[in-house]
Amino acid sequence: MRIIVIVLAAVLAGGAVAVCLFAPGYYAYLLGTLAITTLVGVGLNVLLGLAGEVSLGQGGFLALGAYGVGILTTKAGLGFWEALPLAVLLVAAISAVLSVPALRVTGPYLAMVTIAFGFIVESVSVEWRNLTGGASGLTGIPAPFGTGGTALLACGFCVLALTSFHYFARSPLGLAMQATASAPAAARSIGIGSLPVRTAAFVLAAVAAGLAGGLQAALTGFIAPSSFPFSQSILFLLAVVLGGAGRALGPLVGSAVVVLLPELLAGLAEYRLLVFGAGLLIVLWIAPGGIAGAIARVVMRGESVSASPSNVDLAMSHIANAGGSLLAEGVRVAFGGVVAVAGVDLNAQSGRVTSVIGPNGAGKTTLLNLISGFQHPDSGTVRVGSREITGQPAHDVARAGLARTFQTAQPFGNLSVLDNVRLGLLRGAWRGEGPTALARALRGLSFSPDEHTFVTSWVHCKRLVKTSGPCYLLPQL
Amino acid sequence: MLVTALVSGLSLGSIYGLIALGFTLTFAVSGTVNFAQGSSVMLGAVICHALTMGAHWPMIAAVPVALSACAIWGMVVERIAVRPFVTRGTNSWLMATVALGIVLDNVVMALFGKEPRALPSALADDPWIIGGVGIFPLQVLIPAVGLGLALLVHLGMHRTGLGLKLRAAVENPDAARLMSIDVTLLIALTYAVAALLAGIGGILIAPLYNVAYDMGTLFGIKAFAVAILGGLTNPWGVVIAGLAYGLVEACATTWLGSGSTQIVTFTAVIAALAVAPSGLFGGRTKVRV
Amino acid sequence: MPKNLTRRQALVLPVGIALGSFASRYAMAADPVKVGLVAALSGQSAKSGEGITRGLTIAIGEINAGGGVLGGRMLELVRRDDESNPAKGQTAARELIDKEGVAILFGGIDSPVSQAIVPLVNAAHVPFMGVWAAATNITRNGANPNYVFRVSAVDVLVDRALIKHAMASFGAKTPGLMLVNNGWGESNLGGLTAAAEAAGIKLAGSEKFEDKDVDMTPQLKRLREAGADAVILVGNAAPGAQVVKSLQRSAWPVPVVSHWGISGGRFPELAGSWAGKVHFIQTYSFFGPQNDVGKRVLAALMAKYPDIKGPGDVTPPVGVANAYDAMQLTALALAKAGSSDGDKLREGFLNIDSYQGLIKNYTKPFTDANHDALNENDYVMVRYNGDQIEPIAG
Repeated sequence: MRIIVIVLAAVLAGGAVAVCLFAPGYYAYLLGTLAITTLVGVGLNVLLGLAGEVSLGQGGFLALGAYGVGILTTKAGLGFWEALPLAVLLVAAISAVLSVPALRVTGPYLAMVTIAFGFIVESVSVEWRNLTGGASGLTGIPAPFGTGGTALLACGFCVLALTSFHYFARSPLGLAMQATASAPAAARSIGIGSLPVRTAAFVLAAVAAGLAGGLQAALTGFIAPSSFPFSQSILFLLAVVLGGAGRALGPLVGSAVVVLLPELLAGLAEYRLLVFGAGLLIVLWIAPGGIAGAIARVVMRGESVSASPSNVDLAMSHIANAGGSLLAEGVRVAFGGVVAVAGVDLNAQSGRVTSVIGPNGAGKTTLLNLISGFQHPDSGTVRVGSREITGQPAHDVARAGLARTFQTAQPFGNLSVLDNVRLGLLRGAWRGEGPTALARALRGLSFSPDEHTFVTSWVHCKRLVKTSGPCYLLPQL
Repeated sequence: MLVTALVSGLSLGSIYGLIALGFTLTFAVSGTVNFAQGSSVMLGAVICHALTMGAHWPMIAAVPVALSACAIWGMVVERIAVRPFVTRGTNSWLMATVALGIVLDNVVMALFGKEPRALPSALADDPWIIGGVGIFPLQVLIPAVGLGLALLVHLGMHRTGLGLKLRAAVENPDAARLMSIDVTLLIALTYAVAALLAGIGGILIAPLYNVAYDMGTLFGIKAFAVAILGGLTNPWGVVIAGLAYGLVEACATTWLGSGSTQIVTFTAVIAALAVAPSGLFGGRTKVRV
Repeated sequence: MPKNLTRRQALVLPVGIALGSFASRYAMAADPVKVGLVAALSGQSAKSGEGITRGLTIAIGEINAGGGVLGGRMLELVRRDDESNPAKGQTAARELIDKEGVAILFGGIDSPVSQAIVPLVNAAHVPFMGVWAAATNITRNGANPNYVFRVSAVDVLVDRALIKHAMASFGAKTPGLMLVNNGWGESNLGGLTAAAEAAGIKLAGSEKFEDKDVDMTPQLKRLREAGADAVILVGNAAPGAQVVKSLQRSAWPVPVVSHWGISGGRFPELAGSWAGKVHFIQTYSFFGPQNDVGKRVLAALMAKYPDIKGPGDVTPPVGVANAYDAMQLTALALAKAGSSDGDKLREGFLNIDSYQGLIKNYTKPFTDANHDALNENDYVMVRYNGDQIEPIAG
């Protein structure tokens, strides 16, 4: 299997080099466009495939990157290799600024912000004529190597991006993004702050698009506002979804369809959007994993869980080895005139199971929400060990060592069991390995070896997955 | 100058409000929006054009047919691009409605042609001159129709049995179902009404803006901005937001030049969302943990 | 049936296509000589693309019937739609040059698109023949050797003609300018300002509008307040129509003299009842007595296209006439060059001695100093009468 992949990659690489260097300019240009589209797609794959947010404004970042390189080379006299990193930095900065208003919202609201951004960039590039050349755009943008070489450079960046994505999706930050997309509340409960994670995804997507834009400026030598129409942002989204959101090779497959299919059907070029729109619908209906997802299902059966005996002692010692005890004093909260929790004291010793009992409406869930950071108490203090956590948000509380499960259990359905456990152990950290052996051990406690990799709705399994992370447990009634 | 800006702003703004009303209706009942709403605007205008200019029907006959087509289109969108994904529990309806809108635009392009065509109207030929300012009668009719329809929707929601059922479904869909209210049918109905409102908007502006297969895209986007600004749950907020948006647009065009119009309006949208993430008039939605 | 292409098929397919295209490019003898057209075939100026296509097609028909070019090779027209978008036009030009292997590229109505293609053809050493877009810097682009030729109007000369007509026909002394906000509008701003100065009159002002605008009343109001007694319009059919509608709405019956952009689309339909008030410029009219070529072309048009029943139905005449003469001149250049090689073809154009054409009799149409075959003596002022374009007497 590995060998097939390596040989295939080598052949494709050889083919790309041959086309870029020896074929007439148009084919190199086509390949370069494919690489650039894939690059934007990889960025969007991080934002959509991992963090679950729809952006219809990637064209805006593409334009910014392109104009950055275009202006720096034609007006400021910089060389391409100096202009490109500067342009990318500019895009990163602008996206960080935009993320402040943008990520306060989600779903269709975020889509609107990204659309608005795209239109603003287009209008500014028309109006700021002294800088951007206005509607006529910029010509004579220098390419580092000529069309073939620049296309090859774009291919190189594209390959780099695709491989990086593969490793990134497995990394702590990548897992955190997927967790936030899958079950935001649960993610907060194990220490993953939603805003920083989504901001990271947003900026990464923008940077990828900006880099692609800079390459496009060099590849075509000419950019104008009309080079970045709104329909292009839709095409990027289409490429990612069609190819398979969240899959490493998804953007490549999707971009190949979007860029190369019109070439094969040159006579029907005017209907290409119709075909793509219909294609997107069909993919969404019957193959939500996209083309790459469908291929993966056929080619790669689920990884079988290793049959090696799990290290039960390691797992048990981790669970038993808890930190300080939980101490709550005088916790009180009122909603309007209704006092939900009136001065509760709670002492839960480590290594023991403590129960909170009460009739319906007594305020048990509210008390747990107050302690674990999902709601703010009006007064009172909460400590874990010697550390005070009163009123802190849930993800900070989780990092202090306190987590909670929910009445309706929410595992991260798009991650494997192992990744669920690893995430819990990471406690919201963005770096670090996450002790894999420990995670495997913990997983082994509740699994027989031939279970399917992805989490199924097993209440027992979920409890274990969620509570193995922090060092303290809060049982639910 | 101010008067012309006011007139253009109010007439455009009421169109945005009309289309945005559709967004609000569907979101309130189902938590989804129809990103193909712009295509409904175009559909109304295109069918009207085809019937009156192509088949030489009188307007009186053409308009109801065009609007029925829009209503049917709305139900089709709900059935194939929204319902399958809502039942699956995903957000894919967002992309699915975008895709369906693209499909309709391009089908119309293939059938109607790629050039913009005119829909002449007696209401957009001879202007009234009021105080040295020229106004087409159509530009007065549009806000009147827009506000009238908003009022009609409001009355429908609050004074009819159907409206009562709709409001019940908005408050608590599960309880509504338990009381034998067919929530699914109601959702389909709101999509039909939303598309109908958009179609009316399209027919009203066609004599001023000309009819083309891509005329709806920008309208849909701006109407969505208006719906968000108004808060996706407040119909009157949406109407006011629409008028405000239209006025801002007209003033920007008049005094800053039309190149900067979109910069001003879309920046205002982003700023408004930064300040009020649920829209200027929308309530905060509670997230139950 | 496999759901997706197997890996091998996915590899072989594009390689096979690429190889096939290379092969067809280098195939020899009795192969057609391809000529490419990048023009607006959709959108508001679709009619312009249609007109150019017709002119080229009629000419190609005649040439092929007379034995073709370069010893019996037939001419073949390959078209691409630029959608009035410079980036798309550039991509289409690249494709036609590299993939289709065209010997020459014909341009369309949009100056910004032609301006984007010019550097490409100069770098690729493939001749580019403009047949409509009039921006001055398309042919006067500073390249040496310059591969760009044009059988069409030149903005700097058109602007002189427009000012002259405004003064002569309407007695205008302070015209105001309404210009589209792009490279074409900019080209004319320079030309009109210079022409007004040369004619000794002052401009009341100059206003811009976007191609997609619908309401130009603010700009027109400002011109009116500045005392404009005529409006000189530069824009394509859709915005031009909206300018006229805005004039109608403001009830301002000022004379309008326009560049030919409005003739590229359905201007009378979009502009409504005031469309006929606009005087605009063309390089040819099929009305009135025609020379032999004119009669022949008109007959061929009526035979081939059922919607053309008389001279008034050739709308727009510019696209058809310019393209026809440009194609015939190309055939002559090919004969002079003896090959379809770009460099030789360029020399061929410069070596054409004379040609009895449709628009006029050409003598040494292209020289090193001047790549524009037409000048201001070839212009004619017209207006719309219903859907037909008629010359204005006098």
